[in-house]
Amino acid sequence: MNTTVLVVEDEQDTAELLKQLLEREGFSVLHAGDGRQARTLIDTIRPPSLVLLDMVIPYVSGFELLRVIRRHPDWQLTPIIMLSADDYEPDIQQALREGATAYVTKQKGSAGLLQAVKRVLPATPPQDQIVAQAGSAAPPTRRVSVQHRLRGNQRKKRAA
Amino acid sequence: MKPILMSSIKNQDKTTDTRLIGEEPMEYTQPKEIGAEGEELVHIDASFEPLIPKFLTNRKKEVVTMQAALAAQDYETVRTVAHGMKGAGGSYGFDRITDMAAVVEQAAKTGDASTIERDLPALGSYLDRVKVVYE
Repeated sequence: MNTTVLVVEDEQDTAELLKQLLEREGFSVLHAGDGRQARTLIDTIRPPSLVLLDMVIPYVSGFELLRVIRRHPDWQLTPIIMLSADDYEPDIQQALREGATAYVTKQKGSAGLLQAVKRVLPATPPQDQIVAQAGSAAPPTRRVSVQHRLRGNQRKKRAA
Repeated sequence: MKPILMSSIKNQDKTTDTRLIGEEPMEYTQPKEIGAEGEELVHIDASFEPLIPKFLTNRKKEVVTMQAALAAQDYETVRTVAHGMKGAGGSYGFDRITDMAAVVEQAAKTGDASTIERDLPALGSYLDRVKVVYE
C-alpha cells in the first residue's frame, strides 16, 4: 500500500527532515510550505492517509486548516497530527477538541513523531477506502469508533 | 483510539515515552556531553547526516538575523525566528538549541533586550562548537 502523508510545515529544514523520515518509512510525502498552499491542495487533490499539520504557519493558521479539513466533505475523516514547538496546554486541548487526532511537540524529535504516526495510521483505513464509502449512508465504521472514543475521552476529562 | 499527546521524554537509553492527555507534564532536559576537546556532542541518526550542515548553517544565519532585529528593536522578528529555531532544534534532536531559542523567544515577547543580548551570543557560540556524532 502506498500511503501518502501531507506535511504542512513552513520551516524548510524541518520539512526536509520530516520528508526524509517519512520516506525512509515507506510513505509518499506531499509538502505544503504555508497555509495557502495547503488550502489549494485540500481543494484540488484526494485526501492523503495522514496530515502532519504545523500549528504556526503563514497565511492560514494550523487551527484554521484543522477546521477546514474537518468541514471538507472528502477530507473530514483524514487523521491529523498537529505539530507544535510549544506544549501550551490550552492549545493542545483546543486542537483535540476541534478534531486533531494527536498532538506532537517538536521538542520530542523525529522518534516521537514517528511513534505518533505509527500509532495513528495502523488504526485508520486507507483514505481511498474512506472516499469510496463516502457515498453510502453510513460513515466508515472504524472512524466513527475513533470519534466516539475521542469524545468519550473528552467527557471523562471534563467530569474528572 | 484515544487522542495522543506525544510529549515525551528522552530517557538515558534515548527511547521515547508516550503520555496521554491528562497526565502531569514532566521536565525535559538534555544533559551536556562534552568531547575530548571541550566541544559539546550531539548524537544524530546517521540517515540525517546530509541534512545537518545546512541545518546548522541556517541556524547561524538566524542568529545574525535576530541580532540585526534586536539592534532595530524589532522584537517580533526576534520572536518569530526564535520560535522557528525552537521547533527545528527539537525536530533534529538539538535540544540545547531548542532550550536557548525558547529563552530568546520568551524574552522577545516581553521586550527583554538584556536577556536577548546575553543569550544570542551564547547561542551563536554553541552553534560554533557543537559537534555532531552520527550513529
